[in-house]
Amino acid sequence: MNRPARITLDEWEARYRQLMRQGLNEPPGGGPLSRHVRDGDTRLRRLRFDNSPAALALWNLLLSENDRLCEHKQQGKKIVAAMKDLGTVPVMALAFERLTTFYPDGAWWTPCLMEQNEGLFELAERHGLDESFCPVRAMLGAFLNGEHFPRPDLLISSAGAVCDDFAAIAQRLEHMGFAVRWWEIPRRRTPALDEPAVTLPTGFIAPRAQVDFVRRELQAVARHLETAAGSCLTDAALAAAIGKSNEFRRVLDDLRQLVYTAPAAPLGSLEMLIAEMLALHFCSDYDQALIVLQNLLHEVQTRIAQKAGVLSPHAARVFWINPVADLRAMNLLEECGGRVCGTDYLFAHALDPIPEAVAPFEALARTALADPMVGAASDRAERIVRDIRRFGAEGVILSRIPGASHCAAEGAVIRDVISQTTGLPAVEIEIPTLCDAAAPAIRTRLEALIETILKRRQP
Amino acid sequence: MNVYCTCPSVPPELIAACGHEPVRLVPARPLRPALRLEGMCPFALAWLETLLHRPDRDESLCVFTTACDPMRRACDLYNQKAPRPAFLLNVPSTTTPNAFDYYRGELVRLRDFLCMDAKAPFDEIKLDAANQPSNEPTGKLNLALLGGPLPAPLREQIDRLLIPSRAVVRLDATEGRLAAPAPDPHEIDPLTRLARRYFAIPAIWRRPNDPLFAGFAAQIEQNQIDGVLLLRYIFCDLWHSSAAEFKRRLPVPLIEIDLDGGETLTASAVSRIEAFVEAMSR
Repeated sequence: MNRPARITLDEWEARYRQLMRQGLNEPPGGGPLSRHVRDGDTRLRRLRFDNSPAALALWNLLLSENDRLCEHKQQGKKIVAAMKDLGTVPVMALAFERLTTFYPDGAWWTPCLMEQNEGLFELAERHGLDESFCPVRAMLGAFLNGEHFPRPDLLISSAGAVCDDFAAIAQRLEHMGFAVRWWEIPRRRTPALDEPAVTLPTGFIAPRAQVDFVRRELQAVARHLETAAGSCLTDAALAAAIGKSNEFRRVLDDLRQLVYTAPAAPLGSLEMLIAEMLALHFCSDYDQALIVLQNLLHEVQTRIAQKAGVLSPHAARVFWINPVADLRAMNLLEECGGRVCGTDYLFAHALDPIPEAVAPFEALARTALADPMVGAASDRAERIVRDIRRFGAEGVILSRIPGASHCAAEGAVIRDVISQTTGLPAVEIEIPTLCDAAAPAIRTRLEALIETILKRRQP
Repeated sequence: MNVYCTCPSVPPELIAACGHEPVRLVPARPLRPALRLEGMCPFALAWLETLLHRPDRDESLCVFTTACDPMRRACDLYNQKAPRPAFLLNVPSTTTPNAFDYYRGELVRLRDFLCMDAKAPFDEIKLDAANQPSNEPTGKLNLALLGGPLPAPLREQIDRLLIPSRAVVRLDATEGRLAAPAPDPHEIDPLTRLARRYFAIPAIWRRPNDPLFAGFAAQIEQNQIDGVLLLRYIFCDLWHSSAAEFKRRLPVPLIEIDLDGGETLTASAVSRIEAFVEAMSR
């Protein structure tokens, strides 16, 4: 049982008992995974999990976030809902002791985890957001019924170069009585030849005028955070928060490098997806999230040293683009003989280090503007190509999010760039919120890609 | 040369002041479209196809804006395929002073781009040309149109559908149909005057977009409107999500009509309009 493996929820019951007998020391929020099923997260019954204590802590951290938010609210902390920017506002909020930030966007997974028994899509539809919108419409339902997170004290949403689904849903929220503080992220453009320019953390280049604009926007956001927290934000405090974020990003980068380049995958793609998501807002508990991540890294290092993996060393190495609405899709890839070696889950800018050699607001502005989603799809594709080469991927999956406005057009551009620069096979697959009915068709496409990859290995 | 645009946030006055001919296009998709991108707004596709295949492609310019995601993506696709890149005007969604300054800066950038190909000096006086609002008739039943850009053939088809019940389109508030406000005589700088006019146009993609709802409600009252047709392209999240709020705020009935980007309304759309008008006539 101690050998690395991916196991079912039922197998985790026995595994948990074994770990407890072995003296497992759990962090706050620990316990068997099965209790989350009793709370309504029935999708866990259909997933395969890593069997390490580190993975157990990861899942418990993720699935206990609502409890944590309620507890923080009871303790008198102010709850800040950061929306859409994926990785910038929480860094600022980290500088305030009295603030806890989370992304209500994350409610998009609730219909998956609860297998649509929670009624969020139906609630959204009753208020004008039907299935033509992407699954993030569940966020509206979650705000309305108040059953998945406490009502935030402050809502901050980016606008401008953001996907229309989210822009529409956030505006609908405001119309329904939830006051939103908007800030603008402009569509990043290439500077003119004679125009002052700045190199951003992801390697893109932007005009100085755009960086200055975003810096002023973030300074305005900071004023809202100060009002909520009842204290001022100094440059020193923000710099310290950036330092903490970077520490987290360094550990995550080490984890990604090890997992995605190891001969045999030491950790499955589902746990890696969750681990990467932690970078966005540290799951509302920075200290605990860092410990969880460090323990995952330690587990991976141990497994690599022991030449132990959870998948075949011959698994096809796949770069995965876009997060999946159904977590089970990550298991499906592995069941078909693939493994994830590289990702772009729509927030690459939240993985790169934030510059520490410049003033903190300047640093955050550069980071926000470095978001691959706010620029041309070809920019995003070039960043993906760099990571494909870094991690040695052999094929690419573009996962389409049902109803998402950006997926319709960017896939064509990204596929073209990947094909022209790497020659790697790529396939687009739409993953619905519950992919069970579509699983045979999804498997067929996954298997086709994997067979192509394996064939290309032959001399 | 011709400068093609479609978004109401691109001031034709600026194009004219740079010595070019502003051409506002609101195209429909041909029967056999060349581009097939599943899930993409059909209007954005129609616009893209029209620009890629326009006969004067080598002797004209085009301007996209960042008003919505499909248009931003359409610009990416255009630049991938066209010999000369389009100009992408960054139009802020928010309306703060910081956003206004940014928009003004974008108009400066557009001016400089257009002047590179200008054959005449920049004519500042043309920046103050005021739009003429269109005069619509009154009828037994006065309707308003709201929603995405409406190609002329569809507007004509709607007008014909209304004839039997003596209904008319009294107010066309689809994108691009409402005139920008008149120039502010107290603003000294001509480009700033122009920027303020176009920045003030309420739009579905503004955040927040309450001025659009308030302004439209006022026009409903001024024009004694009896009902509203909300014409939205399939896959257009911005207009689709607004329907419930319009219904809540407006004192008159509203019906949503899907547009698939074609040169005629779908049979379903025709039935819905006829039924709506018939119900209101009784």
